[in-house]
Amino acid sequence: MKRGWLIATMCLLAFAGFTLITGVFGISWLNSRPLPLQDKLGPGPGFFPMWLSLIALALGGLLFLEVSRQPSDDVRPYPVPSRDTTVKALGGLLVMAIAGWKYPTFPLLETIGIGSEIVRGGLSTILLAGVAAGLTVWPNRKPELSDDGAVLRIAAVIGLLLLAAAMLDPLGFRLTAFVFTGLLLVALGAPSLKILVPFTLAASLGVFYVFYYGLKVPLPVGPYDWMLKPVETGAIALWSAVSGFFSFFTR
Amino acid sequence: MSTFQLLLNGFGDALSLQNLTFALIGCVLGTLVGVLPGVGPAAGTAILIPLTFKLDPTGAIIMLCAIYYGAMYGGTITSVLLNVPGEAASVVTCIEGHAMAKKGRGGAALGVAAIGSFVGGVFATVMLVVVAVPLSALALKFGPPEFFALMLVGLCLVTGLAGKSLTAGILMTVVGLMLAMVGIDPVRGAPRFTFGVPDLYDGVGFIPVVMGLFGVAEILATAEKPVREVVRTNLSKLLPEPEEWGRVWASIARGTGIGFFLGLIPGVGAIIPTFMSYILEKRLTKNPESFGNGAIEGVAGPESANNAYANASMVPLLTLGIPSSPTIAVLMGAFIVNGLTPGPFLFQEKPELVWAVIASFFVGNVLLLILNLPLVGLWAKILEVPYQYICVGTLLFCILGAYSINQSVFDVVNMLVFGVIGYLLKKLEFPVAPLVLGIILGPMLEKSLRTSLEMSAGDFSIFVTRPITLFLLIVAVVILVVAALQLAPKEIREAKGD
Amino acid sequence: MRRLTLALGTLALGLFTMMIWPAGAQTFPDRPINLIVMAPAGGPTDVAARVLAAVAEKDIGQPIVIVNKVGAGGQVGWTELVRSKPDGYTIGFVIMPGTNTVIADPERQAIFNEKSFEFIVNHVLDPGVIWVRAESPHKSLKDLFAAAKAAPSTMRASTTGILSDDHLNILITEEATGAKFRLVHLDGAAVQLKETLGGNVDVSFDNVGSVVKPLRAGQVRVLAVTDKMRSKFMPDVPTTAELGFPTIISSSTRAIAAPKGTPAAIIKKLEEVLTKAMANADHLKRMDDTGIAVKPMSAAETTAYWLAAHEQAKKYTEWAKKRPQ
Repeated sequence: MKRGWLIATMCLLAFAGFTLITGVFGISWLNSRPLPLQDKLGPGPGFFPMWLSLIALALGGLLFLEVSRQPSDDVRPYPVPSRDTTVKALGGLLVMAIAGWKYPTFPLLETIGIGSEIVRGGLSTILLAGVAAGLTVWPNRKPELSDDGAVLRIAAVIGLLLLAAAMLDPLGFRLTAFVFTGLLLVALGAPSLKILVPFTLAASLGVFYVFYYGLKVPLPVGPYDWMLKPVETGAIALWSAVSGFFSFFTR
Repeated sequence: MSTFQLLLNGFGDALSLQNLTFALIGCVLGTLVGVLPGVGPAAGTAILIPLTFKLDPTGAIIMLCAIYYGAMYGGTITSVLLNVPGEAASVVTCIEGHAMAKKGRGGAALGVAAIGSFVGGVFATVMLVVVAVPLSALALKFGPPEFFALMLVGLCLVTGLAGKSLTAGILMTVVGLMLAMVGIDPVRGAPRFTFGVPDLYDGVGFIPVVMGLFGVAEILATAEKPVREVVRTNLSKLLPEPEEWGRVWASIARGTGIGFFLGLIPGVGAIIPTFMSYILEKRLTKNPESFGNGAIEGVAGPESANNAYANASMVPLLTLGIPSSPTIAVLMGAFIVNGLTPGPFLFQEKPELVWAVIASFFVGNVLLLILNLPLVGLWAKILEVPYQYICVGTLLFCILGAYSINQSVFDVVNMLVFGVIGYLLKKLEFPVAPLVLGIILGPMLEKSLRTSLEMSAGDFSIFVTRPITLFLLIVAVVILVVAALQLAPKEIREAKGD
Repeated sequence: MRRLTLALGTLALGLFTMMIWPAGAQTFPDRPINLIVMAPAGGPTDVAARVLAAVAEKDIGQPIVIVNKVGAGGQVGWTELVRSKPDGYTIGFVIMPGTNTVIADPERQAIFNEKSFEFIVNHVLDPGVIWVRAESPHKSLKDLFAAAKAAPSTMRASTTGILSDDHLNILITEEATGAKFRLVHLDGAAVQLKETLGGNVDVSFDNVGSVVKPLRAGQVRVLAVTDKMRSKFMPDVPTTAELGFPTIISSSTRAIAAPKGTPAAIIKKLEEVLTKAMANADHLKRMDDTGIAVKPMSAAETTAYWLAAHEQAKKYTEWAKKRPQ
C-alpha cells in the first residue's frame, strides 16, 4: 500500500511538472505555446496553470514525505499476475490500443485500399474480434479468484471497451454491442449458450431498437442498417406474435 | 401568485399520469442504480441521461431527479445486506446497518433507513419551497464577484472530503482544478493544454469523466473480485422495537438538520453530512457500547442526513445555478441538455416546470417509501443476479451514454481512460471525489474571476466593496484557518479511519 | 446439410458482391445525406435544421440525417465537415462570422480556411441588437453613445463570448462612434440576461432571436437593431441605419456548405432542393416561432457574402486579439 501511494504521488508530481513546463514555456512539438501569466486586467491564461502546478508540486512533495515516514506494510492493492499472464494481458491491450488509436477508420486497410468502407469495416471487425476472442477465452482457463484471472478479466474489460470505441463509428452500435457483450460475457465467465445468445441479441438489437427508435437517442447506425433493420422488425414481430400466442393459450 | 398556489399547480402537473409514470420509472431505476454495487448516483444519473432525450423537459427533469434521490435511497440496501456501500454516502450505514443485519435485524435497519430518508427528504423539500423564491430574488444580486467568492468557499470546504490524508485530498482538488484548465481559456478565448485536438477545446468532458471514475472504475474493481456474500437476514420485520422509537425520531431529526444545512453549501459532498450525523449520534447516545454492534441510531441519523442533503442540494442548483456535488453537476448538465439553464430565471421563465419538479420531489419520496418498505425483499433478490450480467449491462450503457451526449467516440475513450485512473486510485484508497469537484468548480472559478475583473477593468477592489462578496471571502478565510488548525477534518478522518 | 451450407454460401457471396459493387454510378443521391449541425440536439439551431431537413428530404427522395457534432464553438463540426468526402453526402452548417473568427484566430489552429467550403445556400440571418435593461437611464442609442463617450472605458458592455458576432459588433460600434466600452465576456444569452438585469453590466450586444422573449416580457429595452431593415419580430425598434450609423451592421448568418471539391452538379441539385424547402410554409412558420428570420440566398450570393464577411471578421479578429480585453 505504501509503495502504491509513493508511486501515485510521483505520478502526480510528474503531471504537475508537465503542466508547469507546458504552461509556462510551451512545448512546440505538442502544439502548445507558452501561456502569458498576466494581461492588463490581471491574471492571464497562464496564471492558474502555473500557480496550481506549483501548489501541486509543493503538496506532492509534502505527501511524499508524509507517506515515506509511514511504516511499510505488505498490503498489495492490486493483483500481481505471473509473467506469462502479464505478457498476454499487455500484448492484448497493445493490439486493442493500436486499433483504438485512430478509431474512426482502420488506416492500415485503408492505405492498402481493400474494398469499400463496408468491406474494410467487416474485415477489421473479424480480425479484431478474433484477437479479442483469443484474449477473452484465456481468463476462463484460470481459477476464478487467482491474481492471474483477475488481471486477465480486467484486461478483457479494458481491451473490449477499446474495441467497442474503435468499432462504434465505422460499424454502428448494433454490431459493436453484439461483439462487446458477447465477448465480455465469455471473458467474465462463460454462461451457457442458452443465456449468452438471447442476452447478446437483446443487448445489441434490443437496446438499439428501444433507444434509437423509441427514445430517439442518436446512435450510429453503421453500414449494415439495411440488413439489420428487417431482422429487428421481424424479431420484434415474431416475439410479439409468440408471446401473444402463449398468453392466449396459457390463460 | 403565492408560493403555495404555485406549488399546488405544480402538484397538478406532477400528479398527471404521464409525469407520475416518469417519477415512478425514475425511482425504480434510481433504486436499481443504488442497489447494484458499482454504479453510484453520479455515474448512474449520467448514464441514464439518454433515456430522457425524447421526453419533454418537465418529464425528463422529473425522471432524472427521481433517479438521483432513488439512488441515494437504494444505496442503503447494499450497505446493510452486503456491507458494500452502493454509493459513497452509504459508507457509514455499513457500520451499524450491516451489524444489525448480522444480528438478524436487517429488516429493521432497512425500515428505519427508509423512514429516516423519507422524513429527511420531505423536510428538505419543504424548506426548498420556503426559501426558493426569496433566494432566487437574491440571486440577481449574485454577480460574478459573488460567484467567485462562493466558489472559493466551496473549494475550501472540499478539503473535508479527504479520506486517509488531508494532504492527498487537497492535492487531488488542485489536480482537478488543473484538469479543468484544459480547453478554451476564458481570458483570451484561446485553446490551452489542448495539444491541437479540437475535441479537447471544451475541456476534458465532465460527464464521461464521472462515468469513468465512478462507473467503469467500479466495474473494473468488481471484475477483479467477482464473489459477493449476501447476508440472509430477516426482512419480515421492518419496524424497530416500540421502545426504540423515541431514540429513532430524535436521531432522524438531528440527521435531517445536519443534512439540510450542509446541502446548501457547495462542495461539501454527500459523505460529510452522514459522517457528521454518525459522530453526533455516537456522542449523544446513552449506551456507547451499542455502537459498532448494530445501534439503530447509527442508521437512522446518517440515512436521514443523506437524503436531507440530497434534496437540500437542489436549493443552490435551482436558485443560483450552482452544482454542489458531482451528481448535482450531472443533473445540471441534464438541465442544459434539455435547453434549460438552472438559476434564478428558471423560476420566472418556466415556473410550471420548476414547481412541477419540486412537487415531484414530494411524490418521489412517497413512491420511494412504498418501493422500499413493502418491496424491499424484491430489491434484495436483485443482489443475487450474477455479476457478469450487471458488469456487461452497465458497461454497455456507459458506452451508449458517453457516446450519445456529443455523439463522439472521443468521449468513450475519455471515459475509459478515467475509468482506469479511477480504478488505480480506488484500490489505493486515494481520494477521488475532490478531483471531480475540482473539475466542476475550476472553470466557474476562473471565468467568474475574469468576468469580475472585466467589470472592474482590472481593479481587485471589486471583491471587497461588494458586501456579499466580502462576507463570503471572510467565510472562506475562516474555513481555511480552521482547516489549517486541522480541527474539523481531523474528527472526520478519525471516524473514517476505523 | 451440405446443400444448406452451399445455399448460405451463395447468399453470402451475393450480399458481399452487392456491398463492394461500386456505388455512385446512379444519380445523386442514392443514399442518405448527412447534415452536420454544430449545436446540441434540441437547441434552436438543431430544431431549425431538422425542420428544413424534414421538408427537403421528401423532395430529394433520400433521408437527410442530422448529425450533431458539438464542441469548441463549432470547430469540431467544421473540422468533421471539411474532412469528409466531397461527394455531397456530407454537408453542414457554417456560421458567419463564427466560422470566420475561428479561421482568423491563429491560436485556434483550424485545419480549414475561407477556401475550404463550397456553399450551397444561405438559411437564416439573425441581426444583432443593442439592448439595456428596462430601468436603464439610457433611453436611446444616442444617449448611450453620448454616455459612453463622456466617460471612456467605463461603460460595461457584454458579449455572448470571446470573438462571437456580438464581440465584433461592439468593435464595429466603437469604430463607428469613437466611443470606448469596457468589454465583459459572458457565456451565452441566459447569463447575459441575468447579469444585465442584475446591473452588473450596462449594455449588452446580442441577436434578435435571443431577446424577443425578454422584450415581450418587458424586462429589456432594445435600443437598435444593427441592420438596414427593421426586424419583423420587433417592428418598433429602429435600425442603426435609421439612427444615422449606417456602418454599424452586424448579424449572425447560417449557411449550408459542402466540403471543397464537391462536383458542381451535385451542389446545383442540393441548392435547388434546399431553396425550394426554405419557401415551404410549414418551415417558415416554425422558424417564425423561434424568432429567427429565414434569409435565402443562392450559392453564388452566399459565397460572395461569405468572402465579404471573412474580410471583415479577419480585420476585427486581429483588432480584438490586440485590444487589451
